[in-house]
Amino acid sequence: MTHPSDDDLQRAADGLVLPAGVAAHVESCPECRGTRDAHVRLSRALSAMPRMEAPPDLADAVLAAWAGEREAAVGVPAGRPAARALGAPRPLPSHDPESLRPARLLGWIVGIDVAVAALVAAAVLFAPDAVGSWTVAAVSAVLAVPALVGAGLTVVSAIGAWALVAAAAVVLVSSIGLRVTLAPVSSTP
Amino acid sequence: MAVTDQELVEHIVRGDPEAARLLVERWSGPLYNFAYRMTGSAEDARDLVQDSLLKALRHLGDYDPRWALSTWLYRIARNTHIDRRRRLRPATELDEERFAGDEAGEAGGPSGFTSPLRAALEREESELIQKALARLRDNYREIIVLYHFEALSYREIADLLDIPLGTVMNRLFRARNMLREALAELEYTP
Repeated sequence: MTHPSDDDLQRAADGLVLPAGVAAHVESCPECRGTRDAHVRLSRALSAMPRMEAPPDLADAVLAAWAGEREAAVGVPAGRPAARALGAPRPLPSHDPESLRPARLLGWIVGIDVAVAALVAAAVLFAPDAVGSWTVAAVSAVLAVPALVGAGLTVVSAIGAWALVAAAAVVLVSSIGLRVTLAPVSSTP
Repeated sequence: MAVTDQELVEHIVRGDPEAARLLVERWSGPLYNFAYRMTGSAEDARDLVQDSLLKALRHLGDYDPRWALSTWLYRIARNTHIDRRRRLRPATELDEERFAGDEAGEAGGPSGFTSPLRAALEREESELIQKALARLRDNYREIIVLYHFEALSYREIADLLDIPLGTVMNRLFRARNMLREALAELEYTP
């Protein structure tokens, strides 16, 4: 009988049943038996390779990543709920996080209002004749600013307040200039 | 009696996190061994298993129970490995030195050693086999890993790789002959 193929000898090494005639040949032929046994030794060496153990924290890492994905999918913020409960701050928006805070904006407006009031008061004090209708308009506008803030139009009120600062400054400067013009010329040597 | 994979899958799909933990703990070990033998690196194996299990959990609703879960999971790991290799190191073969270098186990490491001498011998032999494996193309290496290291049957491998049974046997026999030649070049005969 001719020698069986190498594939047949590998099948024999893997424990598959060969046709009776082929199996009998393998057992009686030193060359075929040697080849089959070499296949068996290789298989045993491969099967004896040590198994690599997964890192102990691998399962936790997978589950944590999956939990994060699920939270994100149902709309829960990706932060840590426990930390949030303990008072950790929420993440700030990425755009201009400081300048648009309502408290800070309100502070600016109050400051501007105080400045306007001071300017108007100075105008009245130094040039009572010249301020007249300007003063009335300015004070009315200043009084309107808190109403605008109350209505939520903070940006509009801020712009208005800055305009009032400019108007009051003009009134003050013009009134002081008028006073200087009207003052008697002293006789100087 | 242990909960079956199928039961775990059903519980996870219904939203049971404890079932997810059981499934991940059950399969992270076998998948890590497969991943390590395919990549030769503890770090890469860890990333590969993490990606694979995450994909599995995300798409568990698509799992077809006619297949063994093991087949499905190994297929995900295999495809993830192919994608990563294509993306990270296109057209390059594995680095043999690195492939054998992690064998001491920077992560969990190999298990089952009993004495220093035996450990040294087994480690030397396993490093040589790893080096020889690194010389094989992916499709030959994976079939050896699946058959000999993961102990999958011809049929399971055929399902996993979606190839006929005869092709599995032919490829496995060819892979073993290639491995034998590679071992001979390293002057090692089992």
